[in-house]
Amino acid sequence: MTLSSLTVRVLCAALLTAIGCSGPKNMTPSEPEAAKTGSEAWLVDEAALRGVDFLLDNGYSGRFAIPETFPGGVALLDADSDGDLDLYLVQAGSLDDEGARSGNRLYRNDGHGFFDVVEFSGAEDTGWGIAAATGDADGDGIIDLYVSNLGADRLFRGLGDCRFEDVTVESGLNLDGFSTGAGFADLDGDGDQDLVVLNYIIWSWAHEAECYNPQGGRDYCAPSNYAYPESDHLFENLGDLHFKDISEVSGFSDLPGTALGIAIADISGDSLPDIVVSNDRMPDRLWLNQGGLRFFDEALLRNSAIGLNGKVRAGMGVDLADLDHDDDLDQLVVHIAGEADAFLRNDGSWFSDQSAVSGVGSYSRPRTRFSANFADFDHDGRLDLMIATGRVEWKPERLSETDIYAEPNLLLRGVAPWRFEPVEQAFGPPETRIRSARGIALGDIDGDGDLDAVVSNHNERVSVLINQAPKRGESIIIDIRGSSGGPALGAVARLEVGGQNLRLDVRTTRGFASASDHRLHIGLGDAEAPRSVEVTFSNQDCEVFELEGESPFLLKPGSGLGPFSAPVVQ
Amino acid sequence: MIRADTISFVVARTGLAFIVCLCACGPGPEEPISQASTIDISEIQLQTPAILEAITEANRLVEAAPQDPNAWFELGRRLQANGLYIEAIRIYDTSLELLPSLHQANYLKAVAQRQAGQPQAAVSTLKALSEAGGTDAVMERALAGWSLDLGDLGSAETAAQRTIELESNCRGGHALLARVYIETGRLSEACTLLEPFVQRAVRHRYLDFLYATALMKDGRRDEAMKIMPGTPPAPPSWPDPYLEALTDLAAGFPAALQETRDWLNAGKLELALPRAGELYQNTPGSPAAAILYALSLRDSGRFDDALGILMDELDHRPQHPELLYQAAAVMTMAAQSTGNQAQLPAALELSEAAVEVDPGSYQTHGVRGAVLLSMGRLDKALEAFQHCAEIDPLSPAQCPTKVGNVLIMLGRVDEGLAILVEAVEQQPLEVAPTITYAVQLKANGRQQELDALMLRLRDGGSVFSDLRAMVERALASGETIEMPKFTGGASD
Repeated sequence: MTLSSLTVRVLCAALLTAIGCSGPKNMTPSEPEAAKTGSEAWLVDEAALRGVDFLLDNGYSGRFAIPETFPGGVALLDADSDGDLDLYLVQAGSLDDEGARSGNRLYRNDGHGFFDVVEFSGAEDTGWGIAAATGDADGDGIIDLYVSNLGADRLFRGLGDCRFEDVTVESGLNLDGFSTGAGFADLDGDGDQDLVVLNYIIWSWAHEAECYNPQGGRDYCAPSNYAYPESDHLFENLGDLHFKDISEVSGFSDLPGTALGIAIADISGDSLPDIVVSNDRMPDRLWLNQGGLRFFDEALLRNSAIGLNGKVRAGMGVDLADLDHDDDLDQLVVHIAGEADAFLRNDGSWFSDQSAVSGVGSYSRPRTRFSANFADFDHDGRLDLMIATGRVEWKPERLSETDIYAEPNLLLRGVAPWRFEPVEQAFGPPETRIRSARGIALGDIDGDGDLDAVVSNHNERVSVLINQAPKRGESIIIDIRGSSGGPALGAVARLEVGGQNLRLDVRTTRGFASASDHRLHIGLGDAEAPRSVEVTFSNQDCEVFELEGESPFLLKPGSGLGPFSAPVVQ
Repeated sequence: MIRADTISFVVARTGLAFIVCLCACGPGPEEPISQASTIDISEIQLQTPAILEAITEANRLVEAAPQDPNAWFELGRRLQANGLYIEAIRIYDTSLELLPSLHQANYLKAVAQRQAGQPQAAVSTLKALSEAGGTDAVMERALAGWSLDLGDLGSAETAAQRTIELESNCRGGHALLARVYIETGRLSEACTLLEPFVQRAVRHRYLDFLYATALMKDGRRDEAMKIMPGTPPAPPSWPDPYLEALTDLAAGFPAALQETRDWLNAGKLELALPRAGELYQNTPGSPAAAILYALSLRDSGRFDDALGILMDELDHRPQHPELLYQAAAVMTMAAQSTGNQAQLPAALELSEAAVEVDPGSYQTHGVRGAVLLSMGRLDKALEAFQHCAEIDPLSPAQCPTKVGNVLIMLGRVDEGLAILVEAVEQQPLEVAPTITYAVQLKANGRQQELDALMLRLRDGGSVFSDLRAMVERALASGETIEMPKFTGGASD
């Protein structure tokens, strides 16, 4: 670092401290506001109220370039180490002129509202942004940011005081393609976080195709019109912020695809994290971790690559959860309008598609779904499902006056392990919920113990959705950290609630192009609070922690009973 | 050619049914039609004048004969063909009020409901149609597939079984029934159902996939891994004459492309060439228009001009698979036409580049096979045609036929004839398998089998008469199969 840049950073830090301590005087907490307006919606948009004015420019220019359909990365992360969640929003803009782009924004949360601090933060980026991922790349316990761009990606090392340092070049992450997402995870159990980066296609204006809707008007093309699928990348973390591209030797680049969604967790039950990649009109992948950083795709054999009808699907967002409490992770991949979701029950070595019986398809199928995230919004002990939607093709029936691609987002309440029903008053008035939505990030923004959501919208203000759902029970929050103090990505928590065995994985990369908070929110419904939790960390050490005192529970390795070398309960 | 005739035959037969039913079942001339109104053009967002004209014309027909269910039906079809699904549903309802037994209207209404994002309503429409006894194998197959999508396995099973009853050699029906068995855990039944297809000489990768899936779910992992295709199968496409007929009604640029392609396929070069030239001039940068114009020039014998256009486009899009394989095909045809083999290595290079860019396409493998065949490299040509056949044995490239033909050229006569027999059984109305089979039977002195084939063509009725005449001409001239011509527009 040069002296001048160091000076600038010190000044910025001072400025941050100065502006970060007090919010606007007219700021009001969310709950009284909701009571005042008489809103009964579960999730109420408070973006304006909380000072988030970010408008995502998808770069639409009338030329229907396919990258325009994807931007929408959102990350909720504690950038200033004060315990509440700050907000990083990825910007796209003009495809031709980087100088005309406004760049990504970082909003600091002071508990009541957000303040744009990007210009002091060092996390500025005017690359053509698509996605954001969070993790602890350097193992210092402070969360770092990876930004996926059309063009050069960026790795920002968090300094813990809302400041970031661009370490892209020295880390060896010199990717320059059409990156649509990324995820950190300790894939080899050595305690540091490796990185997976998705790629869509090889694209330039010369590759752009021309396509038409059924009425003869120009429209966005399906990826099959480009025929340039791209391999994804796998980077091994060598420590000291150095990454090595092991895409080829790991087998991970054997099958190119048109990747849009990623989830990393143990699917096969061998305790090694596997990688789920959803592809747009190409088979989805299930990269099973063979150990030693070797991966093999078994999606076709396990019935998660394509539908049983033989058709590839337009795979977008992915989320995982143990919906049926059998200690394995089930999988949801959402798709374009007209295609059923791949809502897959993990039966060990085989996935059974539950899309039809879940009740989700009746509501989701008419929409183009980008992100899908499980969360227990009403604390009834069952996971609900939030889905962000927005078209990628012109349709005659228009749902918004201002945006021909806009659709209403969906919120479905879990009523049984594989059964969901729509929440009638999910998001408030239509003008705030019918958008071209993309990424969802979940986290407790207002610190009231429930999960809120941030949703990016093309060419509209971002939605900051504060949870006001009528609660059906209490909840607890478990914050599992690694030995460095950073989020213990890949750790698995097992606990018993109301006679059911719950399994929750610590992950941040969820849904589409976005990063949620790592903390585990557990609705209790009628059940009593659990007294202990068993945690298996990514190095396979297993500890049992007593849950004493008040939630949230902060769990760190070495502070529980153990470690044991294997999970206590299977 | 034969396929188009088949569609016309179906449409004509159904049209006759309309007339009969109109007398028996339609409301009287004085009976008002509830909520009937034509389409108010100002209310819908039309993007091209061509569509406006198409719908205005259909509107006029309805206004002239508001009691004519076929006029409403035609309006509905035009709306649906141009993406106006909600409007089409309303218009089909009106035609069904006038003539409830208008089964095609019910079917297309169901398709429009599905296209409009109403899958449950679509299934209800088809179920009602099925229960009224008004379906055929195509409609039952759709009902089975859509019911499966919605998780209604009971209805799916019934409809799949009815599909097979109505058309016993319908692979779509077998595939759907196998899916029901897999979903319901009746894995041995699924395997039994699929085994005959998996044992065929030319296999269908989708049916292999289903069979392997059943084995995998049954815990027979090692067996499944042997059968499971290395790459996912191409999606199955079962023929649907009702939907294929709709494509004729689409207006606008895609429709203009399709119409020109159809002219080209039908040999109407006098129509295709000027229109393709016009589309190419008016839509610079459109690979679809460039390819179509190049193919029109090719069919006019102007190989150099055709190649010039394709190579120009390839300068801008060097990895466009269709440009690559079409350029390879044109070079090969030019070589065959002039006898100058010098361009064949370049054609092979282009075709191999196409395979590399798009290995899952039957076209890329099919053209590579054809180039290799022209170069006399029969073993390699056989491999390429086998790849093509595995991807889609029913594709217009007729690759199983080519596999059979090359096997015979390699002296593996019995194997080749067995594959040709299967190809003929699979697509009895297609020209290439039957002609090739007949010619090879004659060339190999299999007079008894040839007589049996000709007898079958004679006894097959009028639907086989054109084909029989073609076979007779081919036998007289010693003609064999031609170089594949691909005019499909991958870009659109």
